[in-house]
Amino acid sequence: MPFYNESANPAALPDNKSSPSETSDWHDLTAQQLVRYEALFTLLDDIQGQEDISAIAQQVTKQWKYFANVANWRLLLADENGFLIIDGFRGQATLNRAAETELSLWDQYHWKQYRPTLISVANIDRDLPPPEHLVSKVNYEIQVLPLMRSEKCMGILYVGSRDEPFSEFDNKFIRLLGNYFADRVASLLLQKRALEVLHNKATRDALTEILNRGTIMEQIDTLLSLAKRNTYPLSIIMADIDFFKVINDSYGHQSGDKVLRQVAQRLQATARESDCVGRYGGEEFLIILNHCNTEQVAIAAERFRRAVAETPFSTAGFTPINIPVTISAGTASTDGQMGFNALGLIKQADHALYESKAKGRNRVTAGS
Amino acid sequence: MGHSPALARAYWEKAKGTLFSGRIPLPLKEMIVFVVSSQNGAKYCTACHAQSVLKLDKTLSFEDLQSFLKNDPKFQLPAIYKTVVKFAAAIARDANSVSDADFEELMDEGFSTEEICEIIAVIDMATMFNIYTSSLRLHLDPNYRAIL
Repeated sequence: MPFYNESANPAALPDNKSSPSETSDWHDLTAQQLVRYEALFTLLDDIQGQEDISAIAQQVTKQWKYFANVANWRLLLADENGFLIIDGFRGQATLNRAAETELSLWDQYHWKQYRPTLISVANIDRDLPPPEHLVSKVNYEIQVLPLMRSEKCMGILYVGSRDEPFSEFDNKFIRLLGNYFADRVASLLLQKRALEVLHNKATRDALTEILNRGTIMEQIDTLLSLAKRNTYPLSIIMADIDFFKVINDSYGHQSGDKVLRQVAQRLQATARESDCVGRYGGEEFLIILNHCNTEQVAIAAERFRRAVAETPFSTAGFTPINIPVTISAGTASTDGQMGFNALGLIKQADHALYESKAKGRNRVTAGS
Repeated sequence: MGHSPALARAYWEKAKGTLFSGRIPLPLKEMIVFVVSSQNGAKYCTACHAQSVLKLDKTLSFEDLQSFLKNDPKFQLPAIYKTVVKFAAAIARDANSVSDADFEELMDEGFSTEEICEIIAVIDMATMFNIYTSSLRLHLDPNYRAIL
């Protein structure tokens, strides 16, 4: 008796008129699937109980072979950031990200085709080589399954069979798990993305996209207490756009907004990775520099000032206008010894900033 | 084993840790025990685990297992069992004979190193019970059908 009863007619479901042979066919079919269902259900439970995509992929790669003749596989999933590629082979899963242009020829081809295909490992097109792990010594054929959701292709699943062609049962179980697995991963990606968006909305300034006032104030408290605990220096810079009212009045508020955005972006681009750049108020910015003493902050503030002053700002449009913009800055530092709180530092930097303004703007003054 | 609770416990713990826990599905483990037991000529264990295999995997019949033991070329084990069974039989024959290539083949089929270790532990456990039941010439329970 063959293990996978290929000849059995799946349409032969029992009904009142069915002959005894049809009924036993159905019993046979059900019985043959019991072992597979057992393994599949265990895996579905595991997937449901996990939120980590990598852990889910590990479980899939360990269990799949027990209910379908699958030795190795690749899941290609599209999202707004490009593609997530999950490879399963030798009992392990690996996750990678790629833009569409970075996909292999094979992936690009199937992504554009989105047509289910069965490829025999013996007759591989040399110009279109499959991922290496899908053509190991044991692979017999590769099944390519586009995953369609409301007429859109969300991804491609490739599965490699071991030793022999996929049977009708294999195909059924591959589709069952493949769809479930892909949907679960896609929904986790979406959930992650939604959380990111929410988090950004809550912590970033809507116009300039740098940290908002609430967040930068939280940051300064946190970083300052860390600096105090570990006695290392920390500095801040208060920066303010010079004559911003004049810019608004002469070029219009829309241009004023553009200047604000571009100043914020230049400050962010000039900052080190460990610095925090936030919008403190109207045209006022607060930058926190970790592990940065009085001398270093003077150099950094000068770098920020130049980043703004050296290149005029352009209002992109039909006839772009170049607007010269400068900032004035004031700095304040602590060596990490006790005696300084966030408000004290800000007050000191603010005084220095006013001094810069009073001395003629477009300059940096160290607070004391 | 009835004479020594300590011994009974030792055997039971080994069975519990290998057969009834871990990642590999029970039908595959029962098949390993069946194959190793037949390789070791253990009548009791072979009959008992043939029964377990048939109970867990309804696609196989008693006659299938008989054909398998007779090396009948007309009978092919399902893909799920094939390579693991070959590996188990080779280890039961001579554990020193398995090579890196045997491991590679299992890994190409998708087995992780943890799973391969689990397979080896099941082979080992089967052999442990084989030696016990064979040396004591354990009689078959009336509800088991002799297969060796």
